[in-house]
Amino acid sequence: MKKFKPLVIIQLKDFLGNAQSSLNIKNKKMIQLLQLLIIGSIVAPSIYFSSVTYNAFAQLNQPELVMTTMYLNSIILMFFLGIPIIISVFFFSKDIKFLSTLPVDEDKIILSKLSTVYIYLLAISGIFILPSIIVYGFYSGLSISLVIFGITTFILAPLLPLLISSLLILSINKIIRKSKYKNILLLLGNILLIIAIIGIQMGLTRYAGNPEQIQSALLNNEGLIGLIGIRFPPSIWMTKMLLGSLLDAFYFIGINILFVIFLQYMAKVFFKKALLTFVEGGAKTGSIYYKKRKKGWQLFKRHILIIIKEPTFLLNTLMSLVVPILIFIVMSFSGQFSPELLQSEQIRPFIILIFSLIVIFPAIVSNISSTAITREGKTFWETKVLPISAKLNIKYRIMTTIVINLTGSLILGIFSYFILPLTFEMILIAIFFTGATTLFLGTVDFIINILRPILNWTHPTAAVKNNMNVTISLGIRVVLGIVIYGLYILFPALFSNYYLVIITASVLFFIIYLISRYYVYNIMIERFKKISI
Amino acid sequence: MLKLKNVSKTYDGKKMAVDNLDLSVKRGEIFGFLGPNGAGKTTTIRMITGILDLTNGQIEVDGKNIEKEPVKAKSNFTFVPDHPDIFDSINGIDYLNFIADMYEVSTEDRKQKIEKYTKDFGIYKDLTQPIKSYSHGMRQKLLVTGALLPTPKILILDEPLGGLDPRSAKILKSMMRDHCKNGGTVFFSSHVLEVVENLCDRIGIIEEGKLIACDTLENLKQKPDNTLEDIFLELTEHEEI
Repeated sequence: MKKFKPLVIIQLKDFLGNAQSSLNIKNKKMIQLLQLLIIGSIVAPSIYFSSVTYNAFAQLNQPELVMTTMYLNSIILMFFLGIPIIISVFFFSKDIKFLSTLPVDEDKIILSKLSTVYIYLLAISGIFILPSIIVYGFYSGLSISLVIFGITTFILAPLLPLLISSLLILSINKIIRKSKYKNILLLLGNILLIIAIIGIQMGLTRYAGNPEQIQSALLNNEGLIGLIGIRFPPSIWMTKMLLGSLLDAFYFIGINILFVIFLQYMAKVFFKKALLTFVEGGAKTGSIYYKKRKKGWQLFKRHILIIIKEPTFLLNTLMSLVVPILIFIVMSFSGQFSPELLQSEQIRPFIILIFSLIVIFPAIVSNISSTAITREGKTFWETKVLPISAKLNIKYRIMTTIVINLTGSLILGIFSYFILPLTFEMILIAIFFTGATTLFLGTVDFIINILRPILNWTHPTAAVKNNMNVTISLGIRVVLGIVIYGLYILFPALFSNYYLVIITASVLFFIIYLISRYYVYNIMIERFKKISI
Repeated sequence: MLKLKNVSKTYDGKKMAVDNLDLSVKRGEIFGFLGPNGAGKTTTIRMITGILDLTNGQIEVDGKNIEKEPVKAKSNFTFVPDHPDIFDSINGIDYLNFIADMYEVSTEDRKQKIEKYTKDFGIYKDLTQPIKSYSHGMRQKLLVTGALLPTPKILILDEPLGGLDPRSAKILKSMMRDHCKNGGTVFFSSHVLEVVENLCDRIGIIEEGKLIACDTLENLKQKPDNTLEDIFLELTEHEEI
């Protein structure tokens, strides 16, 4: 414990320090205000959603199910968000070799590294689970046991997804650690893991949503909680614990402790056989060559390789590009959605809209342009000392992200071709729309990165995920969405012809792209030149 | 070849990291840049190479202003930083080809130089390995090889000998001499006074951002039996090395 505490403290200080520096705001009050705004903007809808859910379950005489459902949804979110971070802190952070030289037990190193992920997931617990318990207490009455077990739930909630994910990730790594393609296999393994978790969840939700199951559950006093809780059985103990059951408290707390002990035991096995082997140098690849290439090609290749060769960047990029396909596959397999639905007559007028939204998904979700400079980190100096113009330096950074996003759009377009009744006209319009939107968002995102370059990061997740640039970039998309929705509410007649709407939007986006492009190459270029490490 | 006129740099608007620095390095010269820790050596080098903006003054590399004509100025030099922080997921050969393409080195030329320098440094067989598997010294050797590929007019090195084994340090010193014999110029900073003493034609000493001495070693010596260490310690007596 003596050594574990400073290990955890140093990890947390590093994590929080990075999180703070990634905000890139010097004014402390501004940071606090921003943090409050962010938390408020997430907690407020969460409280509202909890209230609505509470009322719905109250009608079934089981209002406590609000805590069960919010807990379950948070657990899934924790699995989804936690896995990439666990991969990053275990396999791609630079301190693992250093830590292994310290006179500390290996299990303590693993657990201390997980402490940063725990804090991250604890925030999710605070944002989603805690409000549901407060809402339940507010309407149904507070009791001492609810307060004590509510705090216990809030603290313990991140543990199970964290420990289960870690065990699964380390197990996958133990299998693939000696392969030449271990980086790619690790990513694929973990993408499959995420798909499997979502798939199982959707399958169980479908099973629970079966009318016969619901009917029999309603006839049974505890049937409904069992039906909902089947997605993650500890949620049943958690709910009953919050209602005051000491036995269930024993089960819920016990299973958490059991997993901690299990991971602690397994950590010793994993540390040497999985972690350290993984971070060892790679095998020989390729051959020596002396081929001459154009400067532009080399710059483009460099930026592509920065993404491809850094597994965290690659995972982040891939996930955002193929998420619609993953969702579609999982929903189809779990029976939530049928491809035949898209062929029906009722859907036909909306096809152009659906298709356009699918193909611009990479441009909307994958804001890789907002971290195009940040991804380089401390190696940013490399291109800065080269005899190339700042314009060329900027051009290929933007081009790389646009090419990646358009590749994602192309994959989604091809995929859509097989499930949507598309016409040549629709494809043509969607190409124009995708091109204009991708160019516009890619250029605007790059402006964000010029304004907030953040080059001092210690692990890659901080460069592409725990980063205010990404939040600002997503904020721009939210604002755009609100503007479009506002126009739809104010002038519904404008939206009577979807073809016209998309063509008009494309033209508008293209015009704004030209303006933002001019702004980047004529005004922001001076700011770019001033970026230093 | 390299001219710094009234160059100043402040990070916070108050303390001058580099204060009104005037310096010129002639063609064919090996110039050693000395100073205690935090004296402003790296800041100066970063301004010369265009990594940092100047607060005041101007820098010319072979007559090209680094701020007004950055591409032309940068075509005249290559740079080896004190920290071998380079994009390390690629192979060594990828890095060298990248640098060669940036400086438009022909295929034959790059082949000949890559083979020569990397074999001299003993890293030829490692070129197909990812840079992340390289030791600190190997990275340094790779960076030096990359910097020598275009035969730059000025080779700028920040603490180049740190991390190099004695054999590689000797090779690098010989490469620096050869570079100057062939008409090139070398500007480097170092803490190793013995190296500076034996290698440099002229020496500049910077302290608290100001150039406190700049001359040949012979002229800096007030007594014939003074060493560079004596001169350095005398000039920077209230600072630690």
